[in-house]
Amino acid sequence: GEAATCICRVEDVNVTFEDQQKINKFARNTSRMTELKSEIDSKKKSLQDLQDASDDLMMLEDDALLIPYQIGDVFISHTQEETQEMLEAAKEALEQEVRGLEDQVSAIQQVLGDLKVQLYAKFGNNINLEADES
Amino acid sequence: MAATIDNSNAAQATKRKHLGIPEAAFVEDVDSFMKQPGNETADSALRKLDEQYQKYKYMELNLSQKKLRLKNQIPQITQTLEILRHMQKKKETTEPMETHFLLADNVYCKASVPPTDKVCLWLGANVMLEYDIDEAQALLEKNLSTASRNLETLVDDLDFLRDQFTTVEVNMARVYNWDVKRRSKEVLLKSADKS
Repeated sequence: GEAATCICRVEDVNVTFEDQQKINKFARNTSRMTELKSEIDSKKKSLQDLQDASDDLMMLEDDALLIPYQIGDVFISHTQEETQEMLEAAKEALEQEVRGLEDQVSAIQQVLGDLKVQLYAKFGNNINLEADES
Repeated sequence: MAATIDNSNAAQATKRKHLGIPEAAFVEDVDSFMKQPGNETADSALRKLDEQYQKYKYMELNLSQKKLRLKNQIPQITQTLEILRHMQKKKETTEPMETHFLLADNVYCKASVPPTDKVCLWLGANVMLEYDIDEAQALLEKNLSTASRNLETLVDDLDFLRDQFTTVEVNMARVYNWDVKRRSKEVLLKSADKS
């Protein structure tokens, strides 16, 4: 993944070790947040797939038809009722994971906001803490 | 994540992190840094710093690839555990399981699996071993926790690595700016001389 680049033009103001540590913390957290956001996106896509599968299942007319449910590389046939249950369980588990990740993102956004205030206060225009939106 | 590392572990923690990843020296004062041997000109100092930076970036690439591999391993183990759990349920019943399994790329084959208490696990190096379902579950759970632990360690190492090359980035910026200031001072002095 791309490391967050923070372009520092630290000129007349001296950079202390403490400042360096704050800058490092900022870079680390920005990186972590980017990763988390992409994980959340991919889990949300899986959630959509699960929802689509569940919807398609409800449209089936033949109740007796067994559904091959994918686990790893194998499909194991289940009744439609069992399949819906498995889909629900999978959705709930994913939703919980997404909530956990979103909580982490919020926490990091707090930390980043804090650090921005401190670093901009000391360095002003000499430091750029905005992430590359590339 | 736990935030407190007590003193006895702190030394060990930093020592482990140093394994393979050198710590980047923080420049306290650019003036005295530039007086060090090897830093006669800003160019030579910047070149040395850039070399350091490239090395760190290369290490980051390696570690990131390792991390990706580990990240892919974990869902594989989790899914195998899920199949095991399913087979545990079926162990008590009498009806066979109807499955489609991967015979070759894009080709699946129907199979009817009678309830059983034995499974075979691929151990790698083309070796497959037969286990009781319970033993297999224990083995896979151990593998899962090892893989998770390795991933945690790797993430820690990557964090430490990131700190180091961020420090080098800032060092480079400061040396560059120090040089710009020095040059503009020289220009001022020269023009003061002339007047």
